[in-house]
Amino acid sequence: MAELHVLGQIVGGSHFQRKNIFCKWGVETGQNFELVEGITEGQTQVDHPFEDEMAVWAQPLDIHFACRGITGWPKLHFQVWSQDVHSRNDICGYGFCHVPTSPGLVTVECPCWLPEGTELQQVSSYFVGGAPRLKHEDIVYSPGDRFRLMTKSTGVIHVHFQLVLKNFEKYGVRFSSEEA
Amino acid sequence: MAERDEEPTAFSVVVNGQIELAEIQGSKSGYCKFLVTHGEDWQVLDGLEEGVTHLSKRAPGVDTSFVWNFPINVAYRSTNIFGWPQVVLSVYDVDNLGRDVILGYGSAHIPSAPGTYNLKIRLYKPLASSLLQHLTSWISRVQPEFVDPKFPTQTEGREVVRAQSSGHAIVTVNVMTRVSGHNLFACGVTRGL
Repeated sequence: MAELHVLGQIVGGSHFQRKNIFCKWGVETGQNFELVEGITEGQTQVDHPFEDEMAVWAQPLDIHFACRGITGWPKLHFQVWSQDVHSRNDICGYGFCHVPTSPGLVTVECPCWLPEGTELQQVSSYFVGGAPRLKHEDIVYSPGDRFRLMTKSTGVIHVHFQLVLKNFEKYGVRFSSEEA
Repeated sequence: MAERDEEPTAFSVVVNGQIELAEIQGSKSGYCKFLVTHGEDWQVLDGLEEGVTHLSKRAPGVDTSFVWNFPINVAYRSTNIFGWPQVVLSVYDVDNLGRDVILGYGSAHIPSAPGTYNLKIRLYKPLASSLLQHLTSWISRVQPEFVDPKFPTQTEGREVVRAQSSGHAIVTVNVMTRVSGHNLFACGVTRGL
């Protein structure tokens, strides 16, 4: 069976409106991918960046999949939350990215968005907190209908991927146009 | 490729590199303890997995970096990619009483494809988790640290950490890989043979 190793790091987030942010992340795959080792969901540290730099999460990734087919390639999905001085958490963005299919080192920047409520909700969230959240979080990474959703863009998540692919050549799967 | 893949393929990874420098705002000097961690299926063939650099003061002027230029040479052998080595840096300063003060932790995977890389590792330090600890650390001038220096390489348990990031370190690494037997890995483990 072909094997896929996803190594790398969720480096951090930048350009988010609030500063003290953390990230809940998870990996979603199709049925062809079977987890062998590794952790596929978690939550990062809360970072308070010094001055206006990017918030550093430095969350290492090391996941090992066995693949029966190449459809349903893994995706990484994120929820960015901010934490205030009273340890209250508030949503800051949703986003997802595909795990790249080219072996080696790839840096991915994942832009994030947030649902925008009605004007009344926006005024109330400005004063008391509590931005509108998604009821069904799977729409972040599933290709269903998102047309009715009004959103605003928030920040960018930086992810470093390192992919190691084993035995794919044996089944004739190619990941670049170079001659093998 | 007549053989089935029941037989695990052994490969070796040779890492030659150096910890070049760090830039941390508000710090005048620092030294770096480094560790290279690896998973269960990995064994060290040669070299040292940990070390401590000298205490470096930054030069007067606009350049805010302190230079270590410290070599890392380690070679591994493994049959499983899982647990690929990660380098952990812990940057400390020495205060007026001769105590070590943490300036930042950082970690990164060693690149999995052969080649020369310049890694920029962002640094962060943990903050006190309660107001009382914050107060005692302010009075005693002792900063909170991770009990386990390998903690930055772990995926679990990160949600309880409150950290402050500042600065970065630059590490240059040269990675060579060697696969004995078959050409089964696409990544780089096979390329560059």
